[in-house]
Amino acid sequence: MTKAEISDRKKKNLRIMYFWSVFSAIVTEAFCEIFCLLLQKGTITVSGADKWVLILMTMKEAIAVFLVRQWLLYADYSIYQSPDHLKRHYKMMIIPMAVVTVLFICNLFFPVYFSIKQDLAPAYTPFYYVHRILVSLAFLYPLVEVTRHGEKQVPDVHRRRMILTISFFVIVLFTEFVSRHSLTTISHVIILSILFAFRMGDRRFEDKRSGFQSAEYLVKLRRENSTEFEKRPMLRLSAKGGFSSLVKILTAELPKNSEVVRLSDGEFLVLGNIGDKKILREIGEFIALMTSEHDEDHPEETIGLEWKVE
Amino acid sequence: MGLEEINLENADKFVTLVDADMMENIGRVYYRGMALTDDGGKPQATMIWELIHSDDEERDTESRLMQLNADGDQAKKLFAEYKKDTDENEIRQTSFELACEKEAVFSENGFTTEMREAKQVTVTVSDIAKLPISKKMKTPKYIRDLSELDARVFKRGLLNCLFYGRRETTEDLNALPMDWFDCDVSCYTETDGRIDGLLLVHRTASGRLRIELLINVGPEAKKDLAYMLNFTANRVLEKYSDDTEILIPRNDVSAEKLAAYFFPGLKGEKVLFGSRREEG
Repeated sequence: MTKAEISDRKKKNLRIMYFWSVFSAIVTEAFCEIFCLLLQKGTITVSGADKWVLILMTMKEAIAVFLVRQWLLYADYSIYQSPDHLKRHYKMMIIPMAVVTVLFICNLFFPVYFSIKQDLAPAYTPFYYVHRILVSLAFLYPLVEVTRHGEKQVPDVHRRRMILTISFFVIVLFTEFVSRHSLTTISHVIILSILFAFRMGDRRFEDKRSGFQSAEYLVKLRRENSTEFEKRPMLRLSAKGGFSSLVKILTAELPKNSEVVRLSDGEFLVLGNIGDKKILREIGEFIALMTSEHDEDHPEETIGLEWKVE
Repeated sequence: MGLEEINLENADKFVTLVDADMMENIGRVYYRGMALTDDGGKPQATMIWELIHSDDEERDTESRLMQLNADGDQAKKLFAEYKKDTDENEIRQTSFELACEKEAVFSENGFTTEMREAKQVTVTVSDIAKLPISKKMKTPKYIRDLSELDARVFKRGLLNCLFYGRRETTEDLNALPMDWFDCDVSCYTETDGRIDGLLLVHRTASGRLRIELLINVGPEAKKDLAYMLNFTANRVLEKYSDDTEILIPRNDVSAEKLAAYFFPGLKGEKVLFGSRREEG
């Protein structure tokens, strides 16, 4: 397995882990909400129903916080594609999460967030509203980040759709406060479904063999904006052999998140920014130097790289 | 009278006319130097210039005069010779920004001149000590000085930064060796094993410090830029005396904004600016 494949597998695992934790949090949140409603409506009767409602509602709110945390980590990784950034982000969340957990435990004994009345309806404290607003803002944060950065960092996530999603969420939140009915679960389900449908961190055009983009990616770029595409300089790399070694070198030496397209077995294109031919030439020289060093060290598997900037 | 190209072999001959900070650039890819000598080979006048965008197919090559130590006829002779270089290198424009009062010399040679504020501003280490950022901020571990890097990783990092961050940088920044920069004071940020931020400081031959590059293309660029500046500021305070001068070039909008942010109201000195079109 090449280094690129190992790194790619790790990335996929992280994404899959966060995706499923968000998904399972929504399911659990929905379960708590439904069970709570059934108790409140009297469909299910148990002794000490007020205690059960309190526990279920506290659980639901705690899961909502966990969901937002997982969502933030998922979005962080989708936007930045950086395990280091994810680690820093994760560390930042440890203390707030610990505080919130303690507060939820306290809520079971004292009305920190809410208490349950005789009719099993919750009586919210002002602190609950502060908490809800903060959690909602945290939920919205990655959406705002994506909207700010646009498609550059998250391909196929369009700014207009993001603004619509944010507006939708704000409306839901407003309705929730006015009606005093919890719409948390339903809003989470709808918004996250929309976002996943947008394919954050799209991998449709990935070339399985190299981990770079496949040739169809060029077709997509041309279709999106042919004028801009024609203006972009490209570094063409053609290798006579040593495919896996070249992939290793490109993965390690090219600027991070470079747009690299594999055209055929030993032919790659590195896409540059408009007007930046000079830096592509320097990259070409650097890659050529790395491959020639490799060829000297491994005469049995030479790459024989040729390159040019077009 | 004779004309002589200034290069690494004969540079010592011209130390009386070319200042030390300029002399250290002789031998760099885009720097050119020319001198007028008397019959005995003694230098009389010198001129140093730098080529800009000469490797860029999409922009015209320009030239920036860095130093002119000549009067009247001497300047005419130097500019006549300089013309050959402009033709050879297809230079389309020559400009300069010099702290001198030789307006007539430039006007006689076809330059349009005006006095304006210099792009480069100068502060001292004691000014840095007064900045609030240098006292409280704790620098994260992923910001380190250059002395921990090997040349190849540095080169890869430089390419990574320049690929994503467009800056009006020194033309041959990529060709400069790592030890051109003060490795104790310069720093970098690393994310996922790759350098994504660089603050490069060069110590000139006269002992002044010049910021050659400040860039961060990482996920938290703004925050990390502040950390990097803080790191370097602390190192400068440790290593250099209070009166050491720091030159901050304001080559682009972001550099201007940065200088204005840290040193509000700071103005560059008044310099003579001039330019002329070079006929092909």
